[in-house]
Amino acid sequence: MTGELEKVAAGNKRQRKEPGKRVPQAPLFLLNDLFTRYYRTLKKADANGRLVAWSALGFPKHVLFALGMIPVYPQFHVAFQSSRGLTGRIIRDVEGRYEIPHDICGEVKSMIGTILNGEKLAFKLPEPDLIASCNSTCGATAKGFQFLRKHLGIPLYFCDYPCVTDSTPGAHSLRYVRDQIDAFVLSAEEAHGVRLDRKKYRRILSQDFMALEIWTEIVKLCARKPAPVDAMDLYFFILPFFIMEFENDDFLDLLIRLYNDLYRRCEESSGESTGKEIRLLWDLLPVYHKTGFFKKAFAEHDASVVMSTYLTGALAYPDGFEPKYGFPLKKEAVASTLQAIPDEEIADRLNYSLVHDGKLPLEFRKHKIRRMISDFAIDGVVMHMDRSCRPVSLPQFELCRYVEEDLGVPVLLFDADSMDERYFAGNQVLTRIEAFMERLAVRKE
Amino acid sequence: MKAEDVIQEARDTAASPYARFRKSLPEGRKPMGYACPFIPEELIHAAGMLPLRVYGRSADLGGADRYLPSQCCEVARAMVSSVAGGELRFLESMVFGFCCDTIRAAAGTLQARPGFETFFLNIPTRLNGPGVRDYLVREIAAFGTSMAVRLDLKPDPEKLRSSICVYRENDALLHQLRRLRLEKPRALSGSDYVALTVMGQVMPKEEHNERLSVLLEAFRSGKEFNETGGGKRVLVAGLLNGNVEYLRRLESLGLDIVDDDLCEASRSLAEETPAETDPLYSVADRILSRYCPVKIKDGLDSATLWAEKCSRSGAEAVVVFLFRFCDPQYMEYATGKPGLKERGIPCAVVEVGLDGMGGGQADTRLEAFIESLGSQ
Ligand code: SF4
Ligand code: SF4
Repeated sequence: MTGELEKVAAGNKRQRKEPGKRVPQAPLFLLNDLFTRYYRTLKKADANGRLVAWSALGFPKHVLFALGMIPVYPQFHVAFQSSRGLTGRIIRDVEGRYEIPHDICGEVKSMIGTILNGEKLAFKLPEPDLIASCNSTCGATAKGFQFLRKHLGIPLYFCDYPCVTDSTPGAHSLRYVRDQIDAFVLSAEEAHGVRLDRKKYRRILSQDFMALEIWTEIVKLCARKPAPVDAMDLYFFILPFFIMEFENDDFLDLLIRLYNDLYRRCEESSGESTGKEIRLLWDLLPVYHKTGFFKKAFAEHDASVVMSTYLTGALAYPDGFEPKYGFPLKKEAVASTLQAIPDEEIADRLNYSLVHDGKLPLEFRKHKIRRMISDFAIDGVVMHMDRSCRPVSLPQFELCRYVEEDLGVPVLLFDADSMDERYFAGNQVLTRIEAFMERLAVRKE
Repeated sequence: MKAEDVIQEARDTAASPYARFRKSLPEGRKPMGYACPFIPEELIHAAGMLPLRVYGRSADLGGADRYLPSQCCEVARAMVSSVAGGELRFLESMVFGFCCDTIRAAAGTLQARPGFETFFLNIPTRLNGPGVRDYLVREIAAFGTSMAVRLDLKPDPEKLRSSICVYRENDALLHQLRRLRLEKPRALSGSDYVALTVMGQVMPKEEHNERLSVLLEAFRSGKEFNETGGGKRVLVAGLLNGNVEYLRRLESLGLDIVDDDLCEASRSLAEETPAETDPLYSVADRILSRYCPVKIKDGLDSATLWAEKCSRSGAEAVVVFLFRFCDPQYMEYATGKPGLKERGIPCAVVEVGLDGMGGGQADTRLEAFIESLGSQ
């Protein structure tokens, strides 16, 4: 994994035409270090006697950690596998072995393959004692975990996240999710002899809340001109938020460092924008195994992705674009906002913070893209129609029509798969990118 | 009406469910489309409307590209294009219950349609467990309110109570029919039984109840209408988008369809639950009493359900019909198949499309499957 991040960074160095878009070195090293330590902890999990819960993305990690468990989120590990171009083979194997057709979600199949077939990973995942599943991203994951439960013969707990039908989840949806999590805690305490550590719970909640706050500040910086960083490289920085426990404030320190470095970069380069750079918005997941390809293709045209709909989270869009905590950003300033908010409210917010765009009303997604186009001064939108991920990709025709026709902003909509390399037609995509860039360049003149 | 006429009417309706709406809509009862059987039909009925199950038509698939891409199941693609500009364009409103992520996306594409009211109801994915029932009741109440506001209706609790009775009677009659088929397999073929259930989803429930009573009366007096089968007994599962031709094909290959777990039939049929004083809880219980592989119910999964059904009906194998790109049901099938095999129940999946079973390939697969049954 560590090597993977370095490869990405090195790739950027080779491909980037203009300087200043790479992720600053210091936070990148801190991130590598964090991941190295994380995988070491996972390796030792069995030896430490802590229960291992394989979890669906969105099953609240603060609850699992506070119960003394080690949550492992296989969806993230397969994303890393995919960025190394390794999932195609795993997927094919799963299709043949378990009679799952080729058009069923590749992420789910990769997850099954990496876990059940002893596929060699770049890291070792500890064996699970239980599964903590949910449908915060989609129903396919929930069914994938049921499949795993059947094969592994271990208990499965499930948390149902209702769709959001308005701009925020309704009170009774929050209540419903809370009820299920409370019931999970009781069952886990009874069945596995664990206890919820309230102090730890509160600590993780606070850290996560602060991390989200700082993340939002980083997102705001990406609206500056020229953009301080290629947003495609930021995907890695949000991962620890989803999967790790922090004994100390390492992750917060890392985010603060990233923010301050980017802020400085913004200040230094302010006024350097030629006005010719093409600013792109990427809709949803990257094509993990082809991030280098896209960065290179965009850089050829003085274009880069300044923000992604995925990176702003489903429900964590900045209220305004002025820095909230000043410069340099300090932990204490963020911590002070926390005090006014009751734990329950923070928990509700965090529980729902990972809900996938597919669970939001289409009108909300349109509204979000409209805001992003204006807030980030976007010239064109790149929509990755991810074959695997139906919840988010199916409405993209309508989103594309909306952006092109109603907002008058060009869209490049292309078909690929975040996990399955078989569905990537490089030459075709490249030709489309060329045409798209020409269109954007003409509009810029 | 005679029993023979009811069966013929069911066959005609299943072949062309919306033919009766071509000339005129039912008097005084505006139809409201619905996408998934897990919705509170009683509320629509009580509002004086006709709940109409939407089975997208294959003829309308051509227009689907405007709304949903090709990596979406045909069920949803045809549903949206039929409503937006095809055979079902006479609909002015539709309710989507949360079934799968695809249905959620389909609802979204219709939501922006001017002059068309789209309702979305968050049916929980869990069908039992903490907070589920109360959550569903609140969702149903919210749907009732939103329907009243947006369609300018006056909710009447008394009407709701009588609608609940009509639906419960319908459940009871269909259960009688299912039981009777188990006892007297020659009474009614599997394909005709499913055609009857499909008919009930596109006609007023009161009329459907009358038809079912006529049939039951005829069967009780010893009449038999099943001229098919006689071969291996099978359970059919999955979904057909209302197209019973697939079942006829099985019957023509000599199989006897003795029971089902189909979206058009059993999954649409509520278990008989005790009536509650609060009508909304009665409505919720009708929904929660069922099972569908896109849902999650502690203590139940498709393989267990199919094994139970096989043991009750004497079915020796399971044939599952699925549409391409249906993540939840394919995954459930892949999860359950090894368990069925362990129990000695052979199981095959047949991939279907709106226009057929994938031609010769599916037929060859089925024939091989039937042959393998013969050798067991
Ligand atoms: S790719 Fe999409 S559908 Fe597949 S598991 Fe991930 S979120 Fe779910
Ligand atoms: S066929 Fe499957 S994916 Fe399509 S609407 Fe039905 S359950 Fe959803």
